[in-house]
Amino acid sequence: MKVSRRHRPGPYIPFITLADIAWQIIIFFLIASTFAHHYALTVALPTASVSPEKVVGTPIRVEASETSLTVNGMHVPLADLELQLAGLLSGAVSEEQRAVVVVASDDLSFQRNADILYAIQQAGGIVLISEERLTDENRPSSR
Amino acid sequence: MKIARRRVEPIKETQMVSLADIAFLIIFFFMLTSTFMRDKLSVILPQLSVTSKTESAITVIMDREARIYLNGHPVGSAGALKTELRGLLAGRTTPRELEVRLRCDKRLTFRDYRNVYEAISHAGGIIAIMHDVKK
Repeated sequence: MKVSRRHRPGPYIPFITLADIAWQIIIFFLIASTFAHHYALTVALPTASVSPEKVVGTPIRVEASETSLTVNGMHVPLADLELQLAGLLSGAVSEEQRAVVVVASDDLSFQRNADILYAIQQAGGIVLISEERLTDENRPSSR
Repeated sequence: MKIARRRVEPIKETQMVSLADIAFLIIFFFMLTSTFMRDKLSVILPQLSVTSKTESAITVIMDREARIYLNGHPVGSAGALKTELRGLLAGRTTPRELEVRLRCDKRLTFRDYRNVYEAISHAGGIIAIMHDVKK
């Protein structure tokens, strides 16, 4: 008697499930990824070309503590700083003319510091952070 | 002579092999471009209006306790930070290349971050103050 052989199936890779898994991973990446935008306020602190010591003439001096803010000795609210500086910097062209020396006190928070530096940059000034420290002796009275 | 035309059968099968190929290409794209939370330390950044975008690869972090991290690794002091930054910034010339991202907790005071400012500056870097955008 002749017995018919069973047909053996060849090797088979289940591509449908493979594709399913791949798409699952893609969806995971799409959901989990945060397309972050990193914003930064760039501050070039004193360099060889422009530093508080090398600025010719009398640069604008901003004294800042957590409770007070003065521009050339005059009290200025933080909200008006940009406007005030823009007026003082109008007509300034060179880097040295646009230099704004910032003297900070130890209690100045990073948020307030960033606000001040932002206002200076928006007004067209170049920030120079002085190594001089604002202490209780030379600090203007708070307002 | 009559030549019998071969009938072309329409393809009834979806091309799953090529679909899987495309899917894996997309996966590789995501894996290569993702940064996997390099800035995983939680820091409350200051809030400012929109400024410019930065792509710098060097990140200095100061957390709430004023601990300093360089590219995710703790650094003992501002002096050590300056030394390490000098090495990283060596050979870089353009302002873009010299940018050092500073992620500093907004509640820290000048007493805490002053040394880090000086370390970045003295190492030849340009400070890029990272911030959230005011809404």
